[in-house]
Amino acid sequence: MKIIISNASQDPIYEQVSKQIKAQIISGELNEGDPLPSIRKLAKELQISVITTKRAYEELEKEGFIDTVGGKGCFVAMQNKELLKEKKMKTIEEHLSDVVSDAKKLGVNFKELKEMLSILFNEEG
Amino acid sequence: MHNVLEIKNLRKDYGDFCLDDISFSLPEGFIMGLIGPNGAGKTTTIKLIMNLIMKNGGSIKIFGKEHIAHEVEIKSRIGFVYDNPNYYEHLNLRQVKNIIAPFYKDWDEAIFRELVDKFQLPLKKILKKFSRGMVMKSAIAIALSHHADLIIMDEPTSGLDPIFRRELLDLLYELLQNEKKSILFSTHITSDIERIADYITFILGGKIIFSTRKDEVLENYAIIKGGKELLNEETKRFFRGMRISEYGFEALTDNVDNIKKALGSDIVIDKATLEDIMYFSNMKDHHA
Amino acid sequence: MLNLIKKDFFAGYLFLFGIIILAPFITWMEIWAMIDDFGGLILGIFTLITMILCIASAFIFMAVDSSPNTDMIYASLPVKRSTIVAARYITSYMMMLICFLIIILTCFSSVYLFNKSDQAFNILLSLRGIASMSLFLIFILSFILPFVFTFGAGKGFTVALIVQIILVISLPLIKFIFNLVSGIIEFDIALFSRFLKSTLRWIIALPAYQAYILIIFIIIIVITISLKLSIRFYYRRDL
Repeated sequence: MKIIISNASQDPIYEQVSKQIKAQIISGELNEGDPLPSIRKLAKELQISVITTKRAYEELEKEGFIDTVGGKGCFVAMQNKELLKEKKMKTIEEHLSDVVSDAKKLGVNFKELKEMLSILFNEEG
Repeated sequence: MHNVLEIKNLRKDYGDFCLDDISFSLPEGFIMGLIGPNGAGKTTTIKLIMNLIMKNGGSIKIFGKEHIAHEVEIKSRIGFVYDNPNYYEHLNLRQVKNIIAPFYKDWDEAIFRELVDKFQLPLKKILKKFSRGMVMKSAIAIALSHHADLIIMDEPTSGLDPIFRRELLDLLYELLQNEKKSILFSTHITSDIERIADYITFILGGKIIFSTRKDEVLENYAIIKGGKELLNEETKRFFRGMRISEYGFEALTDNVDNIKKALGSDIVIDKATLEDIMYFSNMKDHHA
Repeated sequence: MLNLIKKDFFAGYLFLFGIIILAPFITWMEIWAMIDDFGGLILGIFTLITMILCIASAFIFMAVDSSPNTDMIYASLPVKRSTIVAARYITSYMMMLICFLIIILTCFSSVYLFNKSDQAFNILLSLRGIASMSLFLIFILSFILPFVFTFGAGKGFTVALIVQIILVISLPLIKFIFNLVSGIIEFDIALFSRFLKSTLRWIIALPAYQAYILIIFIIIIVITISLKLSIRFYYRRDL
């Protein structure tokens, strides 16, 4: 598992943690049933506070990405294949909606955008 | 989850200075930073907790028990480090340890030796020859060597170089792996606890300004920077403490959203550090 | 409690050796100087110096603790303040009596080993002499200690000393007032003084062992009152 905290980021730290864990679950780097470090261990490794890691895990649990097994710790939750696909789509959708709003602001039209997308898709293996 | 430390309406009157209606709690298993400038009342609060001075009002409960009635029982579970620890200068560390250790049922010599090694403290040199930093480290080693459930530290890093301050932080993280251990860390060097603290209690002029989760503090507070033309009677009310220079102003706010609505996008919004919060809150005239 | 007693001796071992060496040394010097140079023991000065030495010995452990200000540390340890006070009482009286014993032994050695004797020693080294000096020392220490626990070692000692001096100086004043008052309320005062005199006569007439039991009883009461006062003041003291 890889987590990098940036102090310069506008995102609060708990969000950075939960986003990165979420991304790794969605991409498959973290598999169903994989154990996550305890909140205290994670706090120590990342040198952040215990409450921050607790909040990150709570967010992940709320969104269904992880499960807490009392006494044993936190594990990557069984991901419903459909639900997972949906989550993946949602992530891309969020990115795309940012791109669309930027494009509109900067005056890039739909045709130019589609071209750009096609070039990028073809070059990045 | 219960509170390892519960302070309600604590009062101490010194005539020209008084600690007024202090209330805050520390839940078990977490670390709280008690911050404030010098003279704010941090040391007084800690002395009141340890019953070194008599309170004029209020209640203090430690481990759920009234702190005076169960004093001995409670203190056997507290490890303390004071600002300016005073030990016998004509004795060496081993001798001082031999005086203090017998008072604790749970004294762990192995842990003490480990810490002494880690801190590179000579056991046979008399304390008079110790640097201030070494005396501090000795106090820390002793405080952490009897399986204390609550560690109370008053400015434990003053006089210590930034390298040791980081090492101390590592030590505290290690301690907190045990969810039954709690730490109260009082300091004016806020960078020391900015990352590790779960809770922050800010004392200023004998009063509690806030006592809440650190994350919340850092999310709500911000430094707003902008041109002086933006300042008027109405906008000044949003700020707690302000610095005006020739080229603009910078001010602390505890409500970023309101500011955004009022002043729009003509301002720079920076993250506020605990030090910023302490500095700006301390300004007498908040409307500079 | 034992920890606290041990730590006093442990931390103050240098002072301990100092007393063990200094007390006999000073006493010998006094005895030889007085007997050789002045022809006889000047009882008043001898007893004064002895008492000063003994009271000073009682304070060595407080001196050891005063510069590092270890009060805060001991009060933070899992031990009651009353225990701290009691332990300090034990070590202070112990040191005072040890010093007194050393001085008495020095006197004996001077008489029997070095043959420097004086009839003053008959009074000093008699059971009655030793008993009354110890009593006096215990009274003085019991008076000073509560001040020490209220104000701290240095200040407390000074305040106690000042109070004692004031009491001594005001003795003639008290006597004057007493006379004045007794002139006005003659009957009651006369009754009181008669009661006092007959009590004193009874005490003096007691057979030796009963007198000593009475003395021990008084000592116990005095020390207990002193201890209770010290504990009460120490509990209220801000460290």
